[in-house]
Amino acid sequence: MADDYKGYKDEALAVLMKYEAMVWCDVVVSTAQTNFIGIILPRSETSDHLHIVLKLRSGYNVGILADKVTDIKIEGRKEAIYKIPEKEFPYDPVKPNVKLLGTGGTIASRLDYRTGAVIPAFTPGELYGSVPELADICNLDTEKLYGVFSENMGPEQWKGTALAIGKAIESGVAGIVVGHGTDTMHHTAAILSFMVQNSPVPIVMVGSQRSSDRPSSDAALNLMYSVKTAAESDIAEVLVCMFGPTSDEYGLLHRGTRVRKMHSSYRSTFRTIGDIPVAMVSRKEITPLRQDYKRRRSDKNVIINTAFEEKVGIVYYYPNMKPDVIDSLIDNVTEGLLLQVPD
Amino acid sequence: MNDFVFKPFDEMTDDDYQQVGFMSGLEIHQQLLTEKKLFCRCPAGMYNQKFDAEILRHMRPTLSELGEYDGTALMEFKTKKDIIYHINRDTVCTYEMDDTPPFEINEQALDIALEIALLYQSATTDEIHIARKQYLDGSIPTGFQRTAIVSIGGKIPYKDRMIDIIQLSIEEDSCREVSDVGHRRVYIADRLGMPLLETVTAPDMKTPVEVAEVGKILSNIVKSTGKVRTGAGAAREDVNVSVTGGTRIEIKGVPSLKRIPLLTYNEAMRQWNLLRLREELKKREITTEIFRSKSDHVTRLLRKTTYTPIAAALQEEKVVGSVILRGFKGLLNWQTQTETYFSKEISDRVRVVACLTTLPNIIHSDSTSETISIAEWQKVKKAIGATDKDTVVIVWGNSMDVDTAMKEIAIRAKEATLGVPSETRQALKDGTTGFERILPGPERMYPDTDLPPKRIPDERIAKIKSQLPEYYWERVKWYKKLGVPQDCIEPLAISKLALLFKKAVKEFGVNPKLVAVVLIQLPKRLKKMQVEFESIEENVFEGLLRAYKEGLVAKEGILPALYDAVKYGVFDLDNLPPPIEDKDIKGFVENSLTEIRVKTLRDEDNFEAVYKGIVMNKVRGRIDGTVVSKAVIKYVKEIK
Repeated sequence: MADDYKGYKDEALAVLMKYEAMVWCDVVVSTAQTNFIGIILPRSETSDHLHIVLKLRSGYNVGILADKVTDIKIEGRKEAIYKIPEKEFPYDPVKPNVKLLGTGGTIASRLDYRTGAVIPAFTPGELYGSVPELADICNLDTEKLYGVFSENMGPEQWKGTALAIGKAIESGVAGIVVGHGTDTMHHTAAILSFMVQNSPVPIVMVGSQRSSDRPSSDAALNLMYSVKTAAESDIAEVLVCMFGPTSDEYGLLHRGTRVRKMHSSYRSTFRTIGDIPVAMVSRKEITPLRQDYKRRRSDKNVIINTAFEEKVGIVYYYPNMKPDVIDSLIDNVTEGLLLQVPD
Repeated sequence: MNDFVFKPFDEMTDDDYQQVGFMSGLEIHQQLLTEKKLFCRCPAGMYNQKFDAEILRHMRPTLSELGEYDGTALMEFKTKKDIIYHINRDTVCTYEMDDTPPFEINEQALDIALEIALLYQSATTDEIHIARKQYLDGSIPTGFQRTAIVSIGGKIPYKDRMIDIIQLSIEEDSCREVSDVGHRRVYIADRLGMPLLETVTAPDMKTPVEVAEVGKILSNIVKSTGKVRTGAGAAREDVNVSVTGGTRIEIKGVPSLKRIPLLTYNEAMRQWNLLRLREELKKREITTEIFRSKSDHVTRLLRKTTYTPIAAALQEEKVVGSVILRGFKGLLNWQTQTETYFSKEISDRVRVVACLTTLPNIIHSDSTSETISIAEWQKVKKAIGATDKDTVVIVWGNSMDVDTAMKEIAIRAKEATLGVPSETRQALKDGTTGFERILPGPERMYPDTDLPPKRIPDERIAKIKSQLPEYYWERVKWYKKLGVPQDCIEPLAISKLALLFKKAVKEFGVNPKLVAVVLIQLPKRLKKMQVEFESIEENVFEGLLRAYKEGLVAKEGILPALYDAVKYGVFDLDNLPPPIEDKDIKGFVENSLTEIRVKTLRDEDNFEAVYKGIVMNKVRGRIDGTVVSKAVIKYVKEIK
């Protein structure tokens, strides 16, 4: 019942209920000025309670002030089915096996009509439906660890991810991809670099800056680049794999301890700070930019060390900073304080 | 099936169009005159071919809200194009390149759109929802155009009836295409993001001429607000055409209304002839279910050909493919449009979908022009198993493209059994239409997740309504009554200077004829004087007309003042030469006598003319020339 008028409240809800016009009804809504023909859409939770949203035949949406509605004629009802075309991910015994661990973020996704939110596609079948090129690279297995925004990643998730990586290495995969929201990806990359030691295979973190509900998204390419790196590269380190330039040309593989996100929405936002990235990756090849990286091995001797001290703080120094700030931090974080001082 | 056969364009009558059930509607895209773009704060209307950077993108189809992929989107994905953007730092920011979310919609643009909606008596929407309309051709770097419905319904008068308006939407303009060769399409991004208003009419036009005439009315209405851009590319029409039994076909981006009649005629003829072709196929017992084709690689068979396009391709190690269309003999020569045949439908698809853009891109066995030799045709036909009843199409290029092309040839031929496939078509220079892409459906619309819905309060509408300009046809009536010169009437009625005209006539009380001449004819005269300028600021006109009324400048002084304003950028009301009253001219004439006396004239008969010249040089722009002339003649008589 609640879903019959999904998202509608007060004035708009009253009008819809009066005419028993539920969401997904095919209707003619009349006002004094004109008739609107279309399907009633659910109302976004963040929008006001005054308007009714209609998807017109032309595909456009319009909001009609509920107060102005003089009549609603119902002509049918068709509920939308939100489904990413799911196809079975093909298995090829010759191809390397890659494990994709999901922590959140949107690598492949679909739209939630109501909130405008993006719902991630994640199963191998859904990913294959969205990015079929992946099957040319590897056999893909996925495991959803968490579904959190990257700003909500914390010690529990870091430790859990490290343990899952250990387990995947144990199972003998050729490489691991970790899907992650971009805002704190560089934190997680740094932490995993310490928690996962002596890895025999590549561990590649990936995300997207422009969500995959947009045709020009960087998501599909990032995913292809990262899966290729996990499957084929001989760089057995924790890496971040994101766009090199803003063009669809190549991705860069950044060392987990060296990388930073530098812009909120730009595609080529991840940069290796004070050094050069480890390698470039395109659809065709992986080109190392340096030689001092740990090589892939055939053993499974990884060390997972999830020790993590939470009572450490970071504070940025600025001129005229009051000592009280430091004092209060010392009172609260007992184990250590890292002072960042501008150059 | 009606056995009407299309006549040449000039011989078609209204009855002929009625017989084929000609129907046409317009989608007019009009740039709005704003300082800034629609969803960012970059300047609008600054065109520049120069670019500072190139960006490469690819487009992937995404799922719609209703969980479906759009047909056009899939077609564009098949073409696997590299899309290159040329960007100039003065006109493009990270928004246009989809590296930053949009800013809120440009309020100035929205006000103009609402104003035009009200002029069309269209019902404005209470809450605007920004949608994303997918365009995978790359013309917009995001892969979608942000667009929103501004109003629904409406009507405009035409002849003795009304033409219905379906809707108005405000949207961002796309990139300009620079080139499209093979798998590389290049765009320049300066126009991208400028506010555009799309007006969609019902298919109420019954002949090609009506379409152009209604287009003219729509164009005049928007121009009459003075708030739209004019000039090349500022307004572009998409024309929808169908005939009885045909399909609604959209001819995209017609740059001029004058070209509409011939284009719609040809498109109607094409649909009609495709329907006749379907009948012919039926007669031959070829239906969608029975349609058969067969594709083969024939590279080896044509290795020694002297037919240049194929020989050149083979030299570059490319491949040759063939497609047998069973039972199609002769049908590739079936006329579709003026001097255009069914083979063009196939060639177009190969060009667009398989990216084989160098023409000719196919040859076929129905062709009478010289291609591969008769012996080679026979060798190919025999090898692939073609009979005398079949047509064979040959295509060449790199292996992947030829595979796509062979599939596409069979697809297009099979579609002939259905009639007229849904597609959008290009307007070609010769007045025919060419395939552009599969017609997109509503599946390509998505809600924009970056921008919230925007409420349009009744007060905003009421305010715009209170300031609506009168319709241009009402202005025309009034101008006629005032005796405005004929050649000024229409240009003035749709000009943004119409408001100033009204003010000058009603408030300043200046003679309407003079005002019209100043506003419409003088700028033209300046252009003829080879003065280069785009437009004259409204305040220059207003200042001059006011000065004239106050006696600060003579009628004759207006043109020189305009000249100075556009040529030297000098416009200073305080420094205008003061007019000379008729009675004062005598003094100027008398004072000039010494000057004429010292001159040695070759012919004394010229005395009067030279005298007039000397006086005129002193008083030009300050008094009517005939007054000077009369005064000189009179004075010369006196002194003789």
